[in-house]
Amino acid sequence: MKKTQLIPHMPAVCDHVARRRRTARVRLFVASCAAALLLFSLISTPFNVLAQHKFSKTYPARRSIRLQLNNRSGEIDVVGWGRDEIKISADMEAPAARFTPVLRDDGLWIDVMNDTRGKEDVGDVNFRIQVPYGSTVDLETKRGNITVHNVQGAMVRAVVTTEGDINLTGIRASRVMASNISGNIFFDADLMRGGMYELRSTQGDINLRINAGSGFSLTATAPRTRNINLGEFAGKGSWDFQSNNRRVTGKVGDGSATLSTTNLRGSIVFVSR
Amino acid sequence: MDCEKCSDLLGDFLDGTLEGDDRALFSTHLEDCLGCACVRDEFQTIVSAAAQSREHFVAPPNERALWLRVRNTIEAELGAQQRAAAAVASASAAKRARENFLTRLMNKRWALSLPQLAAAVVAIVVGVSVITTVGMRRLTANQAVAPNTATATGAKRLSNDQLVAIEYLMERVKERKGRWNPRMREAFDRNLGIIDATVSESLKELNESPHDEISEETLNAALRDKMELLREFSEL
Repeated sequence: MKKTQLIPHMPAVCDHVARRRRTARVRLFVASCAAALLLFSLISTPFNVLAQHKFSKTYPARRSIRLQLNNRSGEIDVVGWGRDEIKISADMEAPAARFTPVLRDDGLWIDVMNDTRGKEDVGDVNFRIQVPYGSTVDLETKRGNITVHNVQGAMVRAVVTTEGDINLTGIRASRVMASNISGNIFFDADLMRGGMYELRSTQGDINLRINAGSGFSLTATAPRTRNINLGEFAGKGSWDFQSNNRRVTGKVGDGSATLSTTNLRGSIVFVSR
Repeated sequence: MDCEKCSDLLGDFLDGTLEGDDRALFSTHLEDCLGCACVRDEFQTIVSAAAQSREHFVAPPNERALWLRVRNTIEAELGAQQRAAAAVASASAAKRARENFLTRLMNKRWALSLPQLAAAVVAIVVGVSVITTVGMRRLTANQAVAPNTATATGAKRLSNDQLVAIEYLMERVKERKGRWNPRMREAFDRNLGIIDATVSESLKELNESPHDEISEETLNAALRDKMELLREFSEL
């Protein structure tokens, strides 16, 4: 028996309602997924990132100003630029972290160690500082990487008390000193006549990229690994390999710059450019 | 009769008990011997004088009391002597007690039989071997921990001032370490370990070749690094 159709347009209405319901369910599902994703991302974000606060300030400076920074923990990135200004940007991991830069006649001084003395947990303070090209830069940190790029002042000093890489690139300074306990040191510089350069590490690799035309006197010591690779400079100078190759002394060109590098448990590698 | 027999009979003669042939012979000898006659005369004079003085002797009023006093005096003197002797004896006993074991041992006479002597020699050899073995083990253990304690042969190369300073700074670091964040603590421990390993290697090389200049420099550099690391972290 055939069923009587009471309302002829009923199937079309039902289809439409059903389609709208499906669309609503899909939208609800997508919204739920988005909410869950947002919640997950919030939970997975480290609390230190949320708590991180920033510092940014610009100071007027002479072209040959001195920057003195004594950090506790964190990265230091110093770049030379063409303005007579010092711009300090810092990310502070913990709210307890405080520092007050002091601008004096002889330079800009930042002493995180002193400004946070007695505080429980300061966390990392990561600096990015832009200085005039001709600045003298003196940087210290207990832990963290130090990078100095395009600085051509009288002196560049970078000291990491424990672990951290030191990258000194585009340097033209007559006095350079870099040291760490563990971590690599990369030194890419033009050696100045009469300049003094000292690179020290206990465990890590020291890589030097020096202008091929530089004249310098070298004392390189690697007592543990005996791995002192002079690269292209091997054929350019007169060398004395001492104590079963644990030390190399010698001279390239006029030997006017003094380069001393010691790596107690790592290698020393020279590359010319 | 000769002079000797005459002197033997002289006492009896003076007492008036010499009679018979002896008295005749005695008298004959005295007539012939002038020396013995002189002796007889002297003794006779003494005996006569004594007999005469007996008349002047006065007996004490209480003879018994006198003897008691004399006896008491004698006993008192004897008692003092005995006390003195006892004091000397006790003093010497105390002195003997004060003598140490070693003195008594040294003063003692030893008489060992051959088996006893052999046993003593064996005991000494075993004792010395044990002490040497223990000493060598301790020395080896000290060399193994040389990076931290810098003892044994390393101690000879480290000055006392350096050791004292390192110990002091280590104590300070230990006090403050709890306040650092974990990353800083880990970095400190890791890098101190690296320095200690360097010190240990340098000491080992110096033991093998004591006059190696580079090993000496490496040791000094590592110690400077250690002092610097400890100094900076003791203020953190």
